[in-house]
Amino acid sequence: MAAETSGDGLVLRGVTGGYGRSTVLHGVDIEVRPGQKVAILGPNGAGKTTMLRAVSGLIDVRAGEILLGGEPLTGLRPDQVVARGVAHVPQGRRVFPDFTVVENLRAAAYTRGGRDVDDDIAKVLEAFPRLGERSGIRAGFLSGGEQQMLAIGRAVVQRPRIVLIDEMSLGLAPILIKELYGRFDVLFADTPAVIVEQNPSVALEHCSYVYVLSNGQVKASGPASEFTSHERLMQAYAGAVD
Amino acid sequence: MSAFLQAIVNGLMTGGVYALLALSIALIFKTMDAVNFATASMGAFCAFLFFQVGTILNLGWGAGLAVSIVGAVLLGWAVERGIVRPLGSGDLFRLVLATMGLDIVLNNATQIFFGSGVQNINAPLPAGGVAIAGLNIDLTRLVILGVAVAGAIVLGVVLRYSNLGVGMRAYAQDPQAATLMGVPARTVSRWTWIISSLLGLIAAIMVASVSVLSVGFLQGTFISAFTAAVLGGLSSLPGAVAGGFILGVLEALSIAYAPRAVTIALPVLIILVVLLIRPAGLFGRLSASRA
Repeated sequence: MAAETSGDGLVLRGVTGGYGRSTVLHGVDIEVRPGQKVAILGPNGAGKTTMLRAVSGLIDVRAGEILLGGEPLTGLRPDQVVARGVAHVPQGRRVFPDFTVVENLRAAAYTRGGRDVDDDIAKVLEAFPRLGERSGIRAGFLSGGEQQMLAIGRAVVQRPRIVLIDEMSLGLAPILIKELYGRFDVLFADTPAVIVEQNPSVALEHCSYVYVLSNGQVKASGPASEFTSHERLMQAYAGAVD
Repeated sequence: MSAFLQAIVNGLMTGGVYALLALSIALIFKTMDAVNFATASMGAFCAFLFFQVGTILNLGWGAGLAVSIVGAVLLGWAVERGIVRPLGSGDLFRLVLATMGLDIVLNNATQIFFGSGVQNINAPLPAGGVAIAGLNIDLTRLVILGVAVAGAIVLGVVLRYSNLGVGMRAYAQDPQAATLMGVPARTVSRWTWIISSLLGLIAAIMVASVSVLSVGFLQGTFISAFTAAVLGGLSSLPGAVAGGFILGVLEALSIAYAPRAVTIALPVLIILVVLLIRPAGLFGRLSASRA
């Protein structure tokens, strides 16, 4: 879709932050090159979700900086971050339960507005035929997999410069995970993405670069091919658990 | 039979105002999870502006309406900016307490600015009545019903079709997800209070038109509107409208058929019954605490 926007990269430099007085991220350095899909792996409580929330402005960044296409996102409110072109698909889908499928997609166009929103909505419903069949149904009545499709669909409508996606595979059947990632790859073919996953094998298949996060720090990083060996990944995790 | 029908008609006409003020309460509860106990004094203050400019300064109703609308917008904006936002989203009880304090402040401000006397006002509404099928229909109350219904419809259209309305409804369902769709929390909060204030103004003008203008004149209606909102589920806007009309009709029936004490206690009785039998109200849903 957004071929003209593939020139954007995301850089986190020494990002430190957390909730209230507790610090979760201790100087995180991550770089996402234009068009690149980057996986963030790591054990529970490593700070993966917190890192995405820091990018989106949902938590305060106490030190360090976050840049999108060279411009700082640090210190912006969440809605301002969205306006700069960041789409964040949160953990647990978080679709609007009382809105229909189409209303959910329309709500995603809040910032960009414009006339061609309907085209994007049509594109989403085409990419996910199950959503197309249920377009008038309230999102609260959808299955978990359908809600995840809808959450991805909202990101499509946002026409982002970069996508952040948190635990897309959580609680879903393997066949559904495969389908979702397949669609995701097509819909965001040229858009850089940060993919947080607890399921390393899925993430490694769809990303070109990997960061392993633990205790709020980057413990290992490298091309995905380096992590495909089970051993290497275990080492990174083991180092991470330290 | 005709007494029964007459009571229903009277009830529907009173219910319109309850519905409008209940919408003002429910709109804020839906987004803020808090009841605004200054609803009545905010509306009353602005209604004073309307009648002060319109009749007492004799500048005409158009001027009164313009000044009071500007007043209601500014008041809603100021309350959000000066009280709601600084209090933050932590402990909601603080916000509820703050609105109680605001109620006292505004009632006293009304007294200082507009005096403590009781003013009978000549509302710019048609007077008299017509008889239709043996029922007596008061024209003033019919117009009030029309205004209330129109107000509810305009609110519904704005919430359903405007970008802001979609954002407000999304925010009410899941504030954080709405934020991630680019809906600014401040904008939602600001317009929630401004629109609620405008609804209060309309309801207050309507009530004053058929009663009197005095400090605290809207308090009784607030109790009824609050009851109507609870009956409808507090966070449901259609519920608030339905609750308003149901309460109006029940009240009129109690006036026709029950001892006066029952009419006076009716709102409290209804709240009690709702809490005992259906705590979520007619249209509301019991929500687990927000994730």
